[in-house]
Amino acid sequence: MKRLFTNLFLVALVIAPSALLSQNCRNIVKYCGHAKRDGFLRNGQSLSGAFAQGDTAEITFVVYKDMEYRISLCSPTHDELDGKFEFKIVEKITKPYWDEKKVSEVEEVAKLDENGDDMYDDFGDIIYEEVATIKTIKTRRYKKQDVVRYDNKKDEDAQEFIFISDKTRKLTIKVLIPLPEGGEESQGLEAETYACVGLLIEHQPGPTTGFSR
Amino acid sequence: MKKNMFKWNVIALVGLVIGFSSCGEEVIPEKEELAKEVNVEDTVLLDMPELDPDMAYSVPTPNELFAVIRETGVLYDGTILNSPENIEKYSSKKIQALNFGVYFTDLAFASSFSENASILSFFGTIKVLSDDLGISNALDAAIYEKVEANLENDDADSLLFLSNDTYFQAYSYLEENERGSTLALIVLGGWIESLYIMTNLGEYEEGSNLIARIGEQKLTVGNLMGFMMKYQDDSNVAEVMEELADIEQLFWSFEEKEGDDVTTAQEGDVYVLSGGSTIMVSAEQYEELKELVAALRKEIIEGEL
Repeated sequence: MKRLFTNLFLVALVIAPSALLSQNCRNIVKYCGHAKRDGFLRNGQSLSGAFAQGDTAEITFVVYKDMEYRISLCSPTHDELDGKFEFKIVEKITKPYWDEKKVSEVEEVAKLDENGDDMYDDFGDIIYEEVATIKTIKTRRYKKQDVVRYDNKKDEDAQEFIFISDKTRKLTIKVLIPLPEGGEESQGLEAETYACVGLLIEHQPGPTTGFSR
Repeated sequence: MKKNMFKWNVIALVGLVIGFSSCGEEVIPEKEELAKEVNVEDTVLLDMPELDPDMAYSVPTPNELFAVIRETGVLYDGTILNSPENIEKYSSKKIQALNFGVYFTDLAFASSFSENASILSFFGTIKVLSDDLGISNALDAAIYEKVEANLENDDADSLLFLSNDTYFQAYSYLEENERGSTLALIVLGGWIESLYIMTNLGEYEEGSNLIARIGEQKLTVGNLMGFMMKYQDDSNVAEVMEELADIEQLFWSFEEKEGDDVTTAQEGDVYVLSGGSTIMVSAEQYEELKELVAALRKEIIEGEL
């Protein structure tokens, strides 16, 4: 019994800080820098959560045609992470491909002799034989494929992404929560390995003429 | 496309049956013909995707949607919105939450078209419902006064900001206070009202901007279901998810037409995402959607769901 309590205590010790942090992380996004001065409105698709450092979080959201969006990340509980987030914007694109199927068709054709002439039976009728033909049917089909639309590593680790789209589309943001200084080995499974992260999405009507600001 | 596929399936099946039935009887000579290509139309019907439980799904706000709808050139029609007088019919928490979403969407619609007369009325209704739902703490105590002041100054931008911020505050408060199921009902009520408004702003016109925006809601329905899935242990949420099944199914029947290759270009500090497929809606699908949405919306605003 004593061992059971000890084990339960250890489990609670490990789980409790992250669970507590998870609760405290709710709505942490309200502390992220809001670009109100640039005309952006806070968007209800913004998210908050507790994430293990070194993990990747995935969020899918919908952006409307001709609306301007700003995406940024912050960690009010772990200031040292600010400026170090790695993120990618990915879109599932419908890609066409050819689906090939072999189909066997059976047809009756006149039987030919060695000279290539039709053969006849005793009643003078043409003799037919069944020939199986294998046809390849190519059908245009479609599948969804991930296409990286933006990678902040290729943009000098920029911590905000401002964009407009010519179509309404569904995007996924994949965020890598940075490891603490010194990497994974420097910390045990403690509250400090979890961080409260806010993903702030903001929007405003895009420019009405062209795409330049 | 379906006809073509059916035809080839029959051929394949017949071929297979003959192939099997001939086993052990006689050897049928085979010959390879040149590849025969069958092009079906350049449209696609993708299977309903499975939702990923590890993924966080977000649903766009009504304010965002109506900012886009306004650009389609449609005119404001206040007669299609839910009457503030209906509030007396809403006694259960479930129906109050659903109609909070409905009224908020009506407010967003009125704000986007600067319909000042309706704005104050919808703000008032939302305030009453927020008291009923116990979320009045979430809203700025002085919101009503701010709205009145902005109406007097005819400040449309500030009203739009207030409308958006009210939604954001309510949303954040519910999330913070672990009332996700109430939030899910608000989001769903709002989405149904958005669809109702959109499908009552004009007749079907192939290729029109309004129809395109309606078709694009196919992208939102997946996220909405993913978002609600988190709270489906709540019986109220599970019930309304079930009510949504026919509408969801219909959206998945909308075909996607192949478009230009996707590109991402940088113009100054703004990126421009272009290309990709377009969602198509037929006249029959539009009429069916209009009917399904109107029926579900009627149950919500009549307090019968």
